[in-house]
Amino acid sequence: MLNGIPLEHFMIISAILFSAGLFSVLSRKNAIMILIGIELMINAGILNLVVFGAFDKQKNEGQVFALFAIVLAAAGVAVALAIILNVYRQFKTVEPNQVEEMKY
Amino acid sequence: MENFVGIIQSSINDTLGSWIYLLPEISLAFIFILMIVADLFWAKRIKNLVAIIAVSGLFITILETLDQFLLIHSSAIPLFGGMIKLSVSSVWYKLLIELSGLLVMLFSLRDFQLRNTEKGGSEYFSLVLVVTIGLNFMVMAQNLLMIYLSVEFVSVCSYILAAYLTGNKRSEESGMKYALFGAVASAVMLYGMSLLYGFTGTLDITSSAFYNGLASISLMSASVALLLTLAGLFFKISAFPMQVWVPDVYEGAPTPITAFLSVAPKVAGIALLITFITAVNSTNTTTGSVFLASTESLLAVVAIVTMTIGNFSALWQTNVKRLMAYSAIGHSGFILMGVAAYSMTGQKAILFFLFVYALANIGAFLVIGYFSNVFHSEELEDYKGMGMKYPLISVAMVIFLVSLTGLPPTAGFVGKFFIFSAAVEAYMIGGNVLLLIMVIFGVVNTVVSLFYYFKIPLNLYLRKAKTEISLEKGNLLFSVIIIFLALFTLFLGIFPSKLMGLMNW
Repeated sequence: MLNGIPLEHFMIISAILFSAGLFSVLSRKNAIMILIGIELMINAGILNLVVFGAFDKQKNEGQVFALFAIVLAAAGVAVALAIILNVYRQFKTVEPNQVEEMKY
Repeated sequence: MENFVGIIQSSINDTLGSWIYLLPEISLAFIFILMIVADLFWAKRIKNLVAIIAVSGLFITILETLDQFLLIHSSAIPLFGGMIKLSVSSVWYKLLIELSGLLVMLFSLRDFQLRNTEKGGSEYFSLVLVVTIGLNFMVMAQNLLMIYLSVEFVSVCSYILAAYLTGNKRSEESGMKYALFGAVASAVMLYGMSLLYGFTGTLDITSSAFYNGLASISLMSASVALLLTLAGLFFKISAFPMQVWVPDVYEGAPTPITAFLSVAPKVAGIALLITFITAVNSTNTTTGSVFLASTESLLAVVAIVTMTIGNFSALWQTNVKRLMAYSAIGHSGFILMGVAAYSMTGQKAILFFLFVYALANIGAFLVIGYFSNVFHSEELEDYKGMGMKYPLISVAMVIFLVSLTGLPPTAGFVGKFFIFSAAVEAYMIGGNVLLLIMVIFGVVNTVVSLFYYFKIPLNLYLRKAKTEISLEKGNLLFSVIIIFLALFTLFLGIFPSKLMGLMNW
């Protein structure tokens, strides 16, 4: 119990977040929307870590991990956005299925 | 409160005592800072200054890594409160990663695409160096936090490297695909790790709480968490089902980076996978681990599917880099055979195989880079008749391809032989039929790989070039490295015990 909210509720929310993110990654055509989906998935993981970390009073490993994950997610998205910007300059589109210079 | 003082004191002592074991990584970090400063102030005056610092710095680091063999004798040393662990095998992996980093830097010095990019090459060398630091930590990681950090460290820098050629459509496309696939894989891995943390209450995968926590919950929930975490690791070693990014990224990225990505992250990923599998299966109880049978079967199935997909898709390729990408997927399957065998001999077989694979693969990509410097093409069509014009390089290419196929008298044969025998040995002991099926598939795949590897010598020697064009002379530095690697491949094929004898832990 965390402030009266049972643990299951947090886990259900994070599972929904993760599935929504994965759905967005698989179904969206725009690279930016895919990135948003990825962010949702990462946030699901972070939420889990923070919630489980509340039970780990001595070492607080979960909270520390969550901090690192937030920073790394920001770094990853910054790099991905820069690359997508470059792709837009070359191809005039950000839809991955229209970016196909290489043939199978 | 008294309690805390003791804990703080001991952890400070632990941290201070650990620094000495991190000498290679610390010096890499210092060289990185030095490179940035040098690039800012003196790069205009002295040509190639950053590259020279990078190469010499990495050379010093290799010497320091060699020195670590004297530092640790037999038992592994946990450092920084169990965050990382330095063992003899991890020093070997680090050595292999740094050597391939050095070769790739020498390779990049003379690559025409990289020399002609508008950005210049100075950031490029610092990024390769940073990836090397990340890979070093990946090899030693013992904690879920450290695993996630190092994997992301490597991934984020690799995205930039793959997309380094601004203005080149293929490079940008490969960078975007790599970044999107990689970010999804690491997000999935993070979710899996958060579940593992919830189930076990610890991030330290070597502690007994980790195994006991996983074994006490239902197998279904434990496998979901483990599979999600493994997905991120499978992405790094390009194993099924996370192998879809490989062909596009390898084809589009600059050739030196393709060579680097096909070797170094795979080496570190395999080392990390072995650490993880060992941790999941380490238990003090007499009945053995509850996960042993299922991980063995999972790895065997993944190995079978990975090598079959890789080798059969390679048959239809007409671009040499794309062909090598599929061959890299096939090789991941072969290495996973060794991981599935999961034994002491298996681990040594994997290390030997990785050494041999790194030599032959970097060598083959160097030849591709050499040829693309000369006639600016990576299509198989354009290789026609080149064997007569560049005899020495073409012979070296044949040696690398024979080694990758796994035929005597090259090192590839010995490497594959060790992997196969480790798998058969594991079958004899454990009696898991999937391991036997895996070995059979391995043999079939070796035969299949012969067909596509030999398309390259076929074009080099037996087909005539359509048009006579005057060609520039190749690069001397490339020729020297290529011939050295080819000779070393042959040497290890004839005297494998020279290297195998050194690997004792």
